[in-house]
Amino acid sequence: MRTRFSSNQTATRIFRSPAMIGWVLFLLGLVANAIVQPTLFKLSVINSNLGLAAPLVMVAIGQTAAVLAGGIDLSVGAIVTLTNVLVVSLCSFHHTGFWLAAILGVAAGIAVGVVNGFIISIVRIPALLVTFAMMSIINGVALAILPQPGGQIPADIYQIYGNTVAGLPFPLLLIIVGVLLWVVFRYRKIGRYLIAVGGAAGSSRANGIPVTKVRFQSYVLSAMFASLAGLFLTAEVSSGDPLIGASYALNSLAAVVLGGTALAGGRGSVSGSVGGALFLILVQNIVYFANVPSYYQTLVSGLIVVMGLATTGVLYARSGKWRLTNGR
Amino acid sequence: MAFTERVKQRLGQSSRNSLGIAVGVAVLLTAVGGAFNRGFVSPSNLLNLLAISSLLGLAAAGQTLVVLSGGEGIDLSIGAVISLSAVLTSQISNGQNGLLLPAVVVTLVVGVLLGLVNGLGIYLAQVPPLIMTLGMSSVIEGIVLVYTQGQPKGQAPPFLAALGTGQVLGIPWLIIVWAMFTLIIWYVLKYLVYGRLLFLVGDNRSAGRMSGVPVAKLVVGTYALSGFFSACTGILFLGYTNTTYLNIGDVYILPSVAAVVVGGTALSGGRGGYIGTVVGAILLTVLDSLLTTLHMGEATRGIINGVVLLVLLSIYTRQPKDA
Amino acid sequence: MLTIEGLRKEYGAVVALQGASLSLVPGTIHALLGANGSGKSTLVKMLGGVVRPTEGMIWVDEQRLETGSPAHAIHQGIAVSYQETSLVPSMSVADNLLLGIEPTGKAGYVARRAIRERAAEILDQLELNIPPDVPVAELPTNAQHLLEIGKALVKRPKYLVLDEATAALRREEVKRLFSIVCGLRDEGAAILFVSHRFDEVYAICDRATVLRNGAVVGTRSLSKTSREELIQDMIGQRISLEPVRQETGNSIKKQSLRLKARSLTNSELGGVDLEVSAGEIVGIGGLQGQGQTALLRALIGAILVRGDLETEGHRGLFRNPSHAAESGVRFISGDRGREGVFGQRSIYENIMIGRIATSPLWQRAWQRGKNRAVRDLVEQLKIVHHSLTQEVRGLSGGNQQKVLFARTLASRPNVVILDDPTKGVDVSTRMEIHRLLRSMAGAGVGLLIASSDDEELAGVCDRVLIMYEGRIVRELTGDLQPSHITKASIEGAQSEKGKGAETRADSL
Repeated sequence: MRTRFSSNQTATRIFRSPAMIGWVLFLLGLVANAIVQPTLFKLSVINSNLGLAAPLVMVAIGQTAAVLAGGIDLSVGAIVTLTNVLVVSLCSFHHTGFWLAAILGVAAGIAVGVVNGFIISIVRIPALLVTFAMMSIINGVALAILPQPGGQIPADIYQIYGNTVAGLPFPLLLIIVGVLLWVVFRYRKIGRYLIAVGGAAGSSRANGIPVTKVRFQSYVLSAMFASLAGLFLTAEVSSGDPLIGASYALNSLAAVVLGGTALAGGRGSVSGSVGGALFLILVQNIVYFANVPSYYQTLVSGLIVVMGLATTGVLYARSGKWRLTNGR
Repeated sequence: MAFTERVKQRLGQSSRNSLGIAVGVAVLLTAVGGAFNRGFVSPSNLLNLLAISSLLGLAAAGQTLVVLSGGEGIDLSIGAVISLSAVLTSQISNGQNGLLLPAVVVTLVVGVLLGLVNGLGIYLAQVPPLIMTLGMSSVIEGIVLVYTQGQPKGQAPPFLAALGTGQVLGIPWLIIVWAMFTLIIWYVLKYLVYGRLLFLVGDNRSAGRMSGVPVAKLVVGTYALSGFFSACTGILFLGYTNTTYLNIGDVYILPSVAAVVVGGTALSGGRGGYIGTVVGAILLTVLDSLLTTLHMGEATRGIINGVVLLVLLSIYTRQPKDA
Repeated sequence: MLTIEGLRKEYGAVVALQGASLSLVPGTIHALLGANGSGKSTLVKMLGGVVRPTEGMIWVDEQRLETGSPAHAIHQGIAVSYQETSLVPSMSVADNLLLGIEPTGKAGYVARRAIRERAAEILDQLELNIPPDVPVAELPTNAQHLLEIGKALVKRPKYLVLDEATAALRREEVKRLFSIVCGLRDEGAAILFVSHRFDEVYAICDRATVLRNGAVVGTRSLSKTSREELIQDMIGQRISLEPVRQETGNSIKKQSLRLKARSLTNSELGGVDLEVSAGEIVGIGGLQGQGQTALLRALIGAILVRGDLETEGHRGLFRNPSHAAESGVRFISGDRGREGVFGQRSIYENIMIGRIATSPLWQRAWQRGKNRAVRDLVEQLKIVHHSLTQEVRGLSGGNQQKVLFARTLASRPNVVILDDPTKGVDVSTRMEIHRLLRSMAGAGVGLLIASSDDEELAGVCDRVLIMYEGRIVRELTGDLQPSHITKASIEGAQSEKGKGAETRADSL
């Protein structure tokens, strides 16, 4: 009944922090993966796994920004696709240099975020619906740009992506850059305000926080990370596909939730989402290398993810104090 | 200024008005279709449009209940359940009328059970509905793969095929079936204890719990009902297409949510109803058909679908300003 | 000097405030009084910039304040402690204290160490012994309210607005707050003090402005005004302040037992026994946060508890509130907005749910006769409304509370359990509710009421149980006096601990 506070609370708080769930799942996944695939820790294998993981990690970071601020971004998958088809078609059909194409591709993605942010924060339409409609629109645009899978980016680009730099896998460096980019936002006022607005928009407003601006920025952030993911994915697969990003919207949300971020907003962390995203990639690996018959792979990986989600949910419910609905 | 304010308020607040708008837009779209092509407004084409709407409408029935139940309720697994149901009915009945009944019973039971799993994960394990039903989709898709070994067999028994494509007195059976479902759902929502409590609990779950409503039973049951309606949709879809292939239900996932919202049901729960969803389903079907009539490619259709959705939602889901 | 000129606010057809004017003079404390729904909170929110006035303006030191902008209000030296608090539950104590005014270091990064230091400083001033990195959601209510005040103080305001700041505080905390506020006044700040408690108003305020139905009745100097005069200003008519208990008399008719609980135990309760008979009103008193809320929730099965329970036709603990409702045990939560009303649904539905909550789900819900019954209840409780299909969120707090009572009456309960039944309700509605409680008891219902208001307990209850640290330590019967209850609450603490209540409160 009485609230007691002691010095070791900080330690327990770290262990009870929601991000832990994502990382525990990741470690469990890593162990399981290492058992079924002994070559897991060979540099080339790490390299290819991270190459697969980097785009999802980036989308998940951006999605975390939108979710923390109390919203959601279903258009991230479409943005990944948009960047991919734009870069590839500029490179192979319009003879644009790769780097210029890359900049244009990312800029287009960010522009989508600006439109999302404008409609959600200024016109004030629920985020789920706006980004859902935007998904349909942007997928249409991508299909118009590149109706069939195809095209090619310069070979040296995807060779760099699959290679190592100073002994470190290049995709790992990209992930680190992505996380650093997030850190730049997180420890400024904007990062704080994302969490404040997502946790209690009314209170934030009363404290003079520019709620509209913060919401707007969260969608620009989300789109920026999604378009960077699109760029990475382009480097990974080296060609264009108008359906390439379809799975990212929902997978990034799964990563965010597995990483202990509340979909209602206001609490959670990017580090958890990164853990969650890596876990999702590992699950695919495990199922593949554990010699699960091919028809069973979808089922098994689906079951693992659902169990992970349920565990996250139960742990949350246990930590009780967060549940304000059944307050004292 | 005062007038526009009042108009905005009306538009923003009353779900009955958004229903009016949806009806208006649906009629307008039909008229536009008629202007481009006389055949578009012929009775047979209109009935055909209604028949196509009926499948989306049924798929969105469970979605409506789930969204109404609040707690950010949404069911993204309906696509997978529809696919599984079509596959189950087709493989068990193997095209024979005699085996149709057991096939239907098994399919409905499976649909309800999957819905129950959704509901339990959401209510007991506190997984957000969006994520739980999404996770279940991939599990169910996995079940379909395992069950069919990648190649669905069988076909619709003649009776089911007749139901899916046949007519009585010139009216497709599908429309009649849908009308019956609509009547029942409308009655349940308006007059039965379940329906009334659904609106209240959807508005404020904690208040519902404290006033003695069996919230767990209600919410979990609603997800089970959604599974039931998805199973029905899958069975009728099989009748409509006669054979089945993998993931046929996927096309219904997002349109079902769109139909619910366009019909004026609040995504936050507690406000709306199935009649709105019926109009929403018709509107979306007419729009899609119109775009096809105008020979728009898939890309343009996607873009216009999205823009129309965005405009409609801007009209009636605008949030009040904080101050 | 801060001057408010003709502030008006309309919400659709409803006028919340009709042209209020007043001025805050540096070095004084100004009280703002008024019944519920008189527009106090609206005025406060306009000062803070949270609500934009339809008409009128605010002048700060001869400069016009940009209305509807909290940032601008803060910039002009106005700091507000809101009644419903403006904290972000998921953020830490320190982060909340400096929310919106974070110091930044090089390159625009937030200086986290500086935040902790400033926060520690203000916590020290408030004598709040809590670590600055605990999330606010984990703090008890009174600490949250103190933080809300601290958040205003940290801005070193020229104009400090305290909206019902003392409502959730303990006595010692109020005392500490007053010494801080008086210090600020002596340094030349102007303070607007909004409160229901006359003792406090008379203790620290110089002048008082009374609002009624959204209009200013007048501003009076407190040294020349009596309590009765202020009350009359507030309600506009004479009312008797007599307690209602006399109406049915004191005699407890020992009828059948309605509710009997034995050794209820969980993390907040240390073995509680209690009995409620038909026609009896049992009160639960004590200092705040001694497990009263947990006890009520344990009785209806809303939280986990061990022990034994017996009601008419049922033996054993309830599994959940629905299970309790099936046995005729109903609960009215003290948290009206979150656990009481269905804001977006009609008055009719809000009342009807009392009848149908536990019916089989497939049964027909609406029948004509019931329609009539709801109408009668609304009439009987004098719920002010224009239509039964009106959304409940449009009603005032007092009327919403009446809707909850109508719901409970519609359910024909055996036992009603209430948490703070008149919280945030104005004086006359409070009297009506007290009468209603008596008449329910008169009809044979057993009532159990927890309240932080000792006057209320003395006024309506037949017996009062005093709780301390999760146990019932005293039972008061016979001629109940508020002062006896208060005394017993504090003594309960002393006899249990052998120490004063202050010690405990300080260590939180």
